[in-house]
Amino acid sequence: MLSKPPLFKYRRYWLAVIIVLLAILDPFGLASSSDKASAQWLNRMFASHYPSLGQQRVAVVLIDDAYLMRNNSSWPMPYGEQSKLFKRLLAYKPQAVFVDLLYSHDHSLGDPARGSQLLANVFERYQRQGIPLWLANTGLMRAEAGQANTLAPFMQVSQPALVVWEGVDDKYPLAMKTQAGLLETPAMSLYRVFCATQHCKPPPVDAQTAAQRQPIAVQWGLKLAPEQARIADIRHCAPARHFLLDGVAQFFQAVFWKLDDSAQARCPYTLTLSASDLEVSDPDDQALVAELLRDRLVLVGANIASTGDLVESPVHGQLPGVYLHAMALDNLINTGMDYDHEPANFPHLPFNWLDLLELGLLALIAVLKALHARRLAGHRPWSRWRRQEIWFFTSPCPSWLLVMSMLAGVSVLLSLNDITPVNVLGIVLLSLVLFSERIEAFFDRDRRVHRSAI
Amino acid sequence: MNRSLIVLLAALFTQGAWAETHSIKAFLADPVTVLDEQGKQQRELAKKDAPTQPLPVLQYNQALDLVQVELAGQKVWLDTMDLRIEPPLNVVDLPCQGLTKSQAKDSRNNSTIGFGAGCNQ
Repeated sequence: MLSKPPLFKYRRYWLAVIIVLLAILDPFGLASSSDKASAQWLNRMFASHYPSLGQQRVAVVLIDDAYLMRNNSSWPMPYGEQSKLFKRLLAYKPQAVFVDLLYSHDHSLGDPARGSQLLANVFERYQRQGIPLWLANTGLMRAEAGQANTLAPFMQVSQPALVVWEGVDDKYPLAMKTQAGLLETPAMSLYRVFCATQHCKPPPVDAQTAAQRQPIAVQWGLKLAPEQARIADIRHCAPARHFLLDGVAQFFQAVFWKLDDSAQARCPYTLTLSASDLEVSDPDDQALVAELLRDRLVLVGANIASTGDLVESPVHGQLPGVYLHAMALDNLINTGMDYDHEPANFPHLPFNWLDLLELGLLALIAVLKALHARRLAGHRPWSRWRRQEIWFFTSPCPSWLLVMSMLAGVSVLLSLNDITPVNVLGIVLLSLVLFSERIEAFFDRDRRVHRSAI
Repeated sequence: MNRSLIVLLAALFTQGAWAETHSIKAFLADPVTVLDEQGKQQRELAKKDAPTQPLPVLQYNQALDLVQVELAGQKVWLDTMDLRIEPPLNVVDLPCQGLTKSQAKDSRNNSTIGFGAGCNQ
């Protein structure tokens, strides 16, 4: 029996260095994929518990195929048709409007009756009535090297909201530096309007400050707006269940997703009106639409087959892109600048302290595993509390519970500080290595019995 | 005889003759926006200064959903959304269509929409 051999052999430290490098350099995107899967799973687990404050302030108006067919129209919609749609919306007096359509090519050239000026005239009416209006903007210099951006007549009667960005993965930035200067995203712009009239946690003073903040790790809600049933048929939408029941269902769906062949599709969280709803002529119906849109922050988007603007929600599957802006705005209204985000990377390094925290948890698992191996090899206890140590390492369960407790504690602390959680799924799975001897023993049991019989 | 019939039918079905049958019963917005024929805002009219008597609709621009009326001896265009017109120009019921449903995560559409009418194709 050895007295007190080192916990790890010299070569094991090199192995640890390789593991750390693998975690940081993320070869083949394995670590980041597992991080993303963990974050999405947690969002699904807590989606039915998402607060509804933002839902009461935001609405989406969706131009869909049904609207085009009803009006015998086409896509892109003729400017005359669009001018009718937007003047109807204007009559319902929203608090502010973002239009998630990019007016980059004038498709009425040589046809003044259908000219873009018809639509610009309506947008100008928004300005005159003091209803802020943002149009989707790519942030590129128009016509330089074939780059597309909003046409000049529309720029004059609206404000730009950035809808194209890179370098933030699936997060949602507040503002970005572009060729056209510093531009804020739709959610940030609309949140400023919200804060101008409602009590809120103050937004960044300007676009420069907003651009320096970490992007939002958008959290998606699940329960439909209570008013949704008044304006649309929601019988096909999956009803929300109890928070715990939904969490358990989400857990089993995540584990057995290969066996579950029911495609995940749900109705959107944000209150949604079809563009057709704005056409109603009955005074009672008009009063209902006015009740739903008045003083709301309205985002207009499209859900037209083959237009390609879809965004992936961990809770819903694929939704029209406008819902990403709506949900980011919802997050801002609910939490202000205390939204969920990842910590910034260390200067000139591709990782942050959250990555180090995850590595710390992995190191804890490795140390516990090594101490178990020592105990199994019959080495003497290394601490002063011999009895407790022997008890602790008699079974892997206390070690595993220690890791789980630390993981839970860290997750709660991170959540309280609005930081995205660590890779919970990864840590839980790796912690099972503590049971490896038990598992091997279980499967080798028959062999041992067989040998002793011989 | 035939010529008189044609003239009568033409008069009946011209937009102007049709519009005469509609009139503005109430101004809903305050102020009411006065527009030109392209829908560009010209000025605003306070509701208290708007005519209280029913105002006949002279023309209806269906493409832009605007009506032409005579205000203080001047022909102007108004937004139908600011007005209660009787009989209504259009009757559209609340469609109560099914709420948009998300597509499954693995749903793929590998196409791009073609020309719209605006491209004159």
